[in-house]
Amino acid sequence: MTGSDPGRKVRGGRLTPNRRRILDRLLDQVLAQDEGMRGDYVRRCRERAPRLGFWLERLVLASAEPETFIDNSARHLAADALAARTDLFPRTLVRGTRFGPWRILSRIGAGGMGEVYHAERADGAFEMEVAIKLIRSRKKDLARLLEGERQLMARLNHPSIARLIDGGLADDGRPYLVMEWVDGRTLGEWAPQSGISTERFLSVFSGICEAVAFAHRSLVIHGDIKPANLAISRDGQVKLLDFGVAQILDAEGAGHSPSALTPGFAAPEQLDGKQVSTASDIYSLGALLHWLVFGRAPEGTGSRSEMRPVWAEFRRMPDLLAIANKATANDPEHRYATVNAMLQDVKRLQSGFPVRSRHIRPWEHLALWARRRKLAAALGAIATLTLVAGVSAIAWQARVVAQERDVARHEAALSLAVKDHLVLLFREVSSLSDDARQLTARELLDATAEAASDWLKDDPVTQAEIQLAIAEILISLDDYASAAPMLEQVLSHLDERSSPALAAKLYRNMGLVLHRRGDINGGFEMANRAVGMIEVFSGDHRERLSDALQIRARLARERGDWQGSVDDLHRARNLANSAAEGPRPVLARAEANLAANYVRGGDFHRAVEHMEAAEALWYALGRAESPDALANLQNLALVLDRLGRTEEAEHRFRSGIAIRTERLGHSGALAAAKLHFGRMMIVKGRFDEAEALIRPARDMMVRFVGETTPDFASTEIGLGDLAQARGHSPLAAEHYATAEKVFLDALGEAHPYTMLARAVKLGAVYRADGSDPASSFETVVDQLELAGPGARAILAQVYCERAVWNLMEGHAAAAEQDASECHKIRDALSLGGWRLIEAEALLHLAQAENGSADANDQFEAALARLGKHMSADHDRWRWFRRHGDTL
Amino acid sequence: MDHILPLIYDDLRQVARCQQARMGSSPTLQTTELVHEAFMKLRQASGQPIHNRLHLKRLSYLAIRQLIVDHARGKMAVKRGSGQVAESLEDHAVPVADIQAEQSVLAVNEALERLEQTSPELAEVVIARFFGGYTAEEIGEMLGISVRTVQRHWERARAWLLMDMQDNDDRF
Repeated sequence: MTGSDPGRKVRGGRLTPNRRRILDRLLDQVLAQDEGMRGDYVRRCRERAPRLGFWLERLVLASAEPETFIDNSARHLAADALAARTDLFPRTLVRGTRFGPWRILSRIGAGGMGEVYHAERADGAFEMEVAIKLIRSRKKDLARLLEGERQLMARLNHPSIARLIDGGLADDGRPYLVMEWVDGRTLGEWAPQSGISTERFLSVFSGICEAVAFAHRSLVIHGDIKPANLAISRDGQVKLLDFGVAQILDAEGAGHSPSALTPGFAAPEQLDGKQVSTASDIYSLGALLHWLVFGRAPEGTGSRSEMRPVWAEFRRMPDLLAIANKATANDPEHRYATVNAMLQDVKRLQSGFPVRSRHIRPWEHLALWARRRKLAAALGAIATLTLVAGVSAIAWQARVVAQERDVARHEAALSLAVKDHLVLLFREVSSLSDDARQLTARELLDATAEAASDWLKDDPVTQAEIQLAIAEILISLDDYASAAPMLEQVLSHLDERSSPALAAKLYRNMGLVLHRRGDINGGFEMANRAVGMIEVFSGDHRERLSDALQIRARLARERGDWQGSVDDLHRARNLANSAAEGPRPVLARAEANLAANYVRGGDFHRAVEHMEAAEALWYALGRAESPDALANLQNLALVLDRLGRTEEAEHRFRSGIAIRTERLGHSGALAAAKLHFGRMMIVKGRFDEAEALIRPARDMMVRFVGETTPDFASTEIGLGDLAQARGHSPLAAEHYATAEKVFLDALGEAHPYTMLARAVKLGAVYRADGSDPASSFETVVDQLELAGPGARAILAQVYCERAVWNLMEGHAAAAEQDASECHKIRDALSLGGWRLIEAEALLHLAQAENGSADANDQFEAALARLGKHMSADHDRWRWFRRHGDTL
Repeated sequence: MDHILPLIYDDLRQVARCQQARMGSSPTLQTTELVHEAFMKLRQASGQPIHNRLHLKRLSYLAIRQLIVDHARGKMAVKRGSGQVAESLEDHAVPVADIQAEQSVLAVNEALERLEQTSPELAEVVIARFFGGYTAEEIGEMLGISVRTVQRHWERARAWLLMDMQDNDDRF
């Protein structure tokens, strides 16, 4: 009868939806006319379209009907409708009323679900006070339902849960529940009092969590946790009231029973009429925690000003709010999985440990660590135990998940967790040390390894995992010197066949460390082995393979195999891309590595693209201050400098160095940042500032990577540049010679770095004592041209150096050729700023000496532009000025 | 969530007041329940975020319609003896006069359901006016149309409903 359009074959014919629409339009036209005209209109319509006209006539007639039922609103019926549902039993019970074996003492209050009375045992069997809840609900099977629930509830024997004692149907059919009487105050009355400490608030809250967790283990859900359902008894015990009541009421079709949900404390899915669950209890607990602090349930943005005064001094408010926010996530999936997990976080909050719900920032770790440390008598013992506990837990987890399907993903997450967490612990310990010399993590490491080997002597695999994990931490701290022996130890006990995953990981790390230690070929060999093993692993190991490929690519690049390196990197990036849904660290790293390759290859525009992609990914991952993201930031600064965007570069260098220094302490990476920034300062003529950057960078390199590494040699180049800029050629020559020797030993004769060091040394030596570098320059240029695209930037520098020498020697034609080559390459590489203008100035200078007419003016113009990028105190600028004046 | 409730309070308070006058009982309990029930209905009906106060008002008359129609159906079921009802209601004989309003409401609702299929914009005005009890001015504001348009919609809708209802009567 309802809804559908019954077929109508009356004289007007069937009234189809289409007809209805046409009729409606006609009706509109009729009604727009004066009443007197309407009859005519309808008549004309009947003549032309009899069937439509029939209906139109009826409609017009209907519209002329005097007041009918529909002209008055039926809204008053809503009251009836609601009354019928909610107000079946409006009467209240008076004192003395017998209620089964109970006698009513007083009415305590009324809530959404009914009325609550204070009552006592009336049959004299024993003395007992109870709370009786009269429920205003029509339940068909309530008695049966109650019985089932009571059996469940009987298990709920917990000091913080008010017991359900009895229940049934009263004489008049009203269901009732009898509950333990709590003599005290509700939380709503208790919390606003002054004099409650934050510790007390938190201990009450943990008490509540413990009770709820206990109930959940017994398969009972509260369903309506809110301040009014919590009491603090006179002896200070917190009690949860009404346990399971909401569930009883909900069991009969949700949505129809107006349940007494309290918006703000009820989870969104409850308000949507869904069944209560452990997740909705967790939501309510989160809301309650918020309420304890602010005096109200959360509603979007909370203003701190409304906090209860006692919380004003609470130092861990961000952590506390993080717990409340996680618990009250709209999507149940995003909440704590269990009350226990939430309770653990609350306990960590109480005991001064970092909270898991919050991505904690390094310096906060430090502060927490320092605070806890004051409580502990022996720092060393605690540090060691924490580390061993942390590492073995991770290692154990790693083995468990190894049996699961997506090993690679789990391991990536795990190793990130280990790294991020433990990196900081190491740092903290070394920075808190009284020793004036900044400690490496080595001492702590030794103690940890010792403890681990003692505990785990029967479990060599786990022990190896721990040593590997520690080595990875050392690697992420750029402390390769300490990581190497650790890895070698693992390697000496390794059985490749029984633990291939471990072996692959070890080779990967060995590759990384050997790379940093300057053993490029050894490192490549290790990385190659890792790649080879992972490639034949069964299952999906795309992320792992991508990671190993990236390490091999870096080594291939160092060996001068630029193409092989780029091939590996593209493969790595594609693997990472296909393996990942959304931003993943391995993808960010792949982008950064690819960018680094383009930097070395001199394609800065491409490099910047990939670096920006990496930067965006790190931000998206919330790890913008992680060591990897900082490395990317640093590289980006470097490239920006090369492109002549010095201000942007300076800004990035400064922030990168500040973050590293503050949060991570000294490291090889910090040294590199200081070196690059220092070299920028040299060009600006800020020599003292440059020295204050490069000297400590050199010392750090010695400590973190050793004196035989290319990284160390780079700092010697930097010091040479500084000496040269100050006009101290002999000193510069010394530094350059040191660098050349280290490069030669580490990388070999033909390597571009060796060539670069040699070229700058030749220039400095020539300026110091006039010795003729001609034939050596020749070899250097040949070697660099052979080295391919990766060496182009260096080749340009060598051409420019040789142009300077040629000019000084009066070989103007050769100088012009060299300067032109230098300029051509730097231009092609998109090098900007002083680098390009220096080449231009050299070119015009040589052209002027060759008698070109406009060249002198062009030189002066170029020199003026160079002055904007390079300080007039710089040796190179002064040389230009002197040489230009002799023209 | 909390900040939405005060917005519909005004509308629902009216209904609560009617009820209080009828029953003479404590207003607080019923008001609370009323608000929650209506609120839950609104959320279920909308299935989407509530944009603003006008949207909310609009949802509130949709909810009231549902409430009234459900209740009327329940009462009709009692009369026909075909529905399952609580014992407390079966104790009383339901006087015929009492259910006339419900009968009419159901007839209107039935015609309204047909109108909704062809002219939802007309039906909307009927729901707001007949169930929600809103004036033409309020309806115009809620639906973003002029008062004049509301009146014209109402006039046509009324004609359709009356015709359909007569037509139904004729066929019985």
